[in-house]
Amino acid sequence: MAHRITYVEGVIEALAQSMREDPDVFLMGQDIGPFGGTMQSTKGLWEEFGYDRVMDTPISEGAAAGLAVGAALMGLKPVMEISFGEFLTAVMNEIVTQAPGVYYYTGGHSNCPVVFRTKIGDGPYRGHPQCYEAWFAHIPGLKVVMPAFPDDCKGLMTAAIREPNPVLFVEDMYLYHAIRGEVAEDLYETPIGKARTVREGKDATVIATGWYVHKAIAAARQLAQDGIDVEIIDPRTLAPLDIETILTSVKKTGRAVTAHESWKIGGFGAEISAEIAEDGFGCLKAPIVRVGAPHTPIPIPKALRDVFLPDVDDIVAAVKKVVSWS
Amino acid sequence: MVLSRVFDQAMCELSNNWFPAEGEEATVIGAYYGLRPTDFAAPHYRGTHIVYRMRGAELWRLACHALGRADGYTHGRAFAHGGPATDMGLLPWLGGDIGPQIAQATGIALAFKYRKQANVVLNAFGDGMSTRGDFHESLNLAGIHRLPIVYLVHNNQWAISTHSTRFLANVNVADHAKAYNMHGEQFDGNDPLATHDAVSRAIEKARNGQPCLLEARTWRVKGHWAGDQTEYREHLANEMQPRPDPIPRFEEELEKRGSLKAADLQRHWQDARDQTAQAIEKAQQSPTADTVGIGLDAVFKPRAAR
Repeated sequence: MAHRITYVEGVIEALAQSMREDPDVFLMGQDIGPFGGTMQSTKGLWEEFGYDRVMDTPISEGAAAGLAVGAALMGLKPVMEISFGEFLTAVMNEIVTQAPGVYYYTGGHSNCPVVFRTKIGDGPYRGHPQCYEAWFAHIPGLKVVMPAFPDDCKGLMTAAIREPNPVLFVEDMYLYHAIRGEVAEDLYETPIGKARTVREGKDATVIATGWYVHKAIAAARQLAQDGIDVEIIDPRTLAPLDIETILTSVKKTGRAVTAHESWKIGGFGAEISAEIAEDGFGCLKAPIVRVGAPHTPIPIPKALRDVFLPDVDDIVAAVKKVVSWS
Repeated sequence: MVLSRVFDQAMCELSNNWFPAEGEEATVIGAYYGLRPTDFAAPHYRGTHIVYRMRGAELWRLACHALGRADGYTHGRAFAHGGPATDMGLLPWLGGDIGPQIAQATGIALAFKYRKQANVVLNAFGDGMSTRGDFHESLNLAGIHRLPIVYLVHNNQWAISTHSTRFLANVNVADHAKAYNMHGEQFDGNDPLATHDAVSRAIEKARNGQPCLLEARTWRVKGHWAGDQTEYREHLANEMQPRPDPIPRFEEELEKRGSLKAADLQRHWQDARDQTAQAIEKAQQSPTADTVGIGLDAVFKPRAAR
């Protein structure tokens, strides 16, 4: 049986069903209790599970993340919510230098099954928009998951909770309440490390993440009117990256565009481009084009934000550029 | 204490990156002596070796860490002061930074409370770390949730090259206990019996949901790391408050009480030297990690089948 639910409801359903299934799963974070989470990220969970398993934390992200790591070292399965991606900078020690090294540095004697969830990007609220996901994909020992659809939210959160290693689960703020999709009611997993082919096409491959998967879908509709057939790949997991699916697609189309909300310089599109250039150079019919934000601190008011954010038109122009390159 | 001293001095010669614990042995041994096997130890990086030893680690495998050999508990992958992990009730050292460990130790106390287990965590660190946000955030969290944890500050008066009068607004670190609604106590960390007494009482309080912040007044005899010549502190001779070496003081005390004779002491030192020499010899025969196929893989734990 399936039902139509929103992006964040997909995450919440995975949390609730995992908590019912496994008493070791519990949640920590700011305002996740009676308030129901920032942007309703934990709506209904405190009512069912109470303070013991839905633990409100003080404005101490760094130590709270350390508590989550410590509890995970003992075999519990904490899901710590970092209200917004902007606050990831307050927990870098635990997410970057501590949790990812547990299995390696202990010679396999310990492991750290912790999940950090956060939300990034533009959205109706327009605060805390920073998209730092690429930094974390740089770190060995950490898995970075970034779904774009409600069914992937549920399946990937379930997989993240069952994962014996640390996971950063990056949710897209724009998509939070904006999209709905068919989601199976029973608990299921979507494997970490497998890309999703969102649309099949033969002329160019667009590799996009989060909200930009949906912008790429809109771009593909426009381009179809010009007779350009776009294939869209959503990696869903930045680390480990399913480069095979991306290369298979680029070998078919011969053209690649990457698209994300984060800054273009040093963004995750740069890593995907480099991988394609290293291992798929021979099949490229045009240089790779990256779509990403300009190198500017993110403006807050809407008018300037709209100028700042790459849009559907930018993806359309990038695809036209690679298709017409000769 | 004698074995700790001898082994520690030997490791300083083997590894420039070893953190000498000389002069702080009474704090370490007096404190961890009161822990039950089911309790959890999160030791300070200064003196880890002796806590590992007290929890059953083999001395030669600890020497492997200083030498980067494959038979160490970390399989030659981690720090000289690294050691056994959670499977021996010990918090592993995962980075060179200090501060994250206090939060992790607090999380282990949270796990004990979550599972309704009557175990306690003993977490030690230096006075230098007490200025980190991690310290204050963790104490606040332990205070809120009444976690079964004892925090133990080795107040050795030094944060690498900076004297505590220059990095602590209040040199009495245990005073922070009041702010976080926990029991606080200061004692002579160079007296193993006073340390054992204070920590044992604190552990029982913690077991009953009263977190504690203890401060052992001690003194860092050597540098921050083995190769540190400490020239930076010569000009502070008038400000420094060195404390007496805990070992001869305790030996005198035991002789006075009639529990130990001079011959016993000599035998004790000789035994420590023999154990240390044997440990190093065996560790030197262990291969370096790269030569036995332990290399750059095994970053992720594989998923078990459901």
